[in-house]
Amino acid sequence: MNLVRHAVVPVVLVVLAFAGAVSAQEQSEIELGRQVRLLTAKVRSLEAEQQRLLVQKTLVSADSKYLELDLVRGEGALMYRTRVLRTFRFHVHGRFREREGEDGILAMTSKEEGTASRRRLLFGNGLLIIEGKINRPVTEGGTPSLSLGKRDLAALYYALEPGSIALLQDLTSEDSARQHPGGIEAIRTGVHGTAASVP
Amino acid sequence: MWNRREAIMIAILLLMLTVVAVVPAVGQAGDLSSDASLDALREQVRVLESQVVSLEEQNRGIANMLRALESDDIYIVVDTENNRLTLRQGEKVLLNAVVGTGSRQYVEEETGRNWYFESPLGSLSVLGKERNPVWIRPDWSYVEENMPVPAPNDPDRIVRDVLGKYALILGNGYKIHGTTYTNLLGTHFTHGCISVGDKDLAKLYRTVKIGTKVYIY
Repeated sequence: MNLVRHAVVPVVLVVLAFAGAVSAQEQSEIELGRQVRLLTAKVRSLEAEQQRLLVQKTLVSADSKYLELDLVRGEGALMYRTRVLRTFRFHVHGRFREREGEDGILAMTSKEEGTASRRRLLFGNGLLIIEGKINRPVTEGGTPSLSLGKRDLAALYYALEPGSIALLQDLTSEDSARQHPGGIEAIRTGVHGTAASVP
Repeated sequence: MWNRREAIMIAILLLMLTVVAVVPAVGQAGDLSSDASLDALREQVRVLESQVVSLEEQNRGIANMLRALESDDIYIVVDTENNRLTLRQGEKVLLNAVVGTGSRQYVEEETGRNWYFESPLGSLSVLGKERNPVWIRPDWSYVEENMPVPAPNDPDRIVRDVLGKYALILGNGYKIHGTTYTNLLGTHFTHGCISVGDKDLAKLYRTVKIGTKVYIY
């Protein structure tokens, strides 16, 4: 009887320990699944970044002006190759959908005539650039817009032609930074920084 | 026989045994595949990490190449729509000047010759620097004033002290020079040249070199 009594408890304890081991396997699956998701997002982000860099590489050797637009800071630059021709500030109205216009690369489709306050630069359905004031947001048909000062719009209106490229910065990188902050080590260890700390 | 305490303890242990036996049994079919799926996940992670490293290296290479193309040289930018001239060095603005640019006017002669006065757009270079530049009056300046056009080498065409103290030659007859019409700076009043006030012109002349790029848009 003592033998039975002394045997049952260790056997049960071994079985319970085994039950704990099964749970560890599930934990591993969950963790690996998380890493796969984060790494997949990281790969997508790096591919988008490469696309932009290749477009920039093309632009710096082309004989055409283009725009760099930092949507977070509200700052833009009219560029020619690697040279800044003009800097300007703007206000963003409406929401830029992720992946709109080929990962933040838009081509100007037309520019509309009119008085200074009615002139506009259109980049398909991805972007509208117009003169405006901060307290009077401008959106048309859901197309996000940037409003600039009068002189800035005049300069861009004259400088750019249909086909001119606008590079939207911090559109995809900000979204992907939220999804997968940090590099490979951070993804492995599960340590996340803030979006601002992402290099 | 067991006493009551032992019996209760055995019953609880047997109950727990039953519970933990059911869970593995239910997942028994998945146990084997769990190992396989873990291996597949680990392989996926390995492949993805490899892709990340490769892409980061490629992007670094392209970014470095782009950075190598940047230059710290001084250059001039002329905004003909707003009649502004900026002297830049990298991200620094060294000078911001109010200027006059091409009038975008059209002049036609009775003989059929015509001229459109616009500043040259695009990427140019400073081809030369002059002190006390002299204006050689072109034909259109006589046509504009309804005067007879003299011979090409007529000394009457030489006019001094109307282009300021300095000039930067851009080619094709275009220059960045001074003006006596300082009240018109900020407007489209020239025949294509870029007119600059005296003080700004002096700084430009001191700072730029032959070969300095000039971007006019």
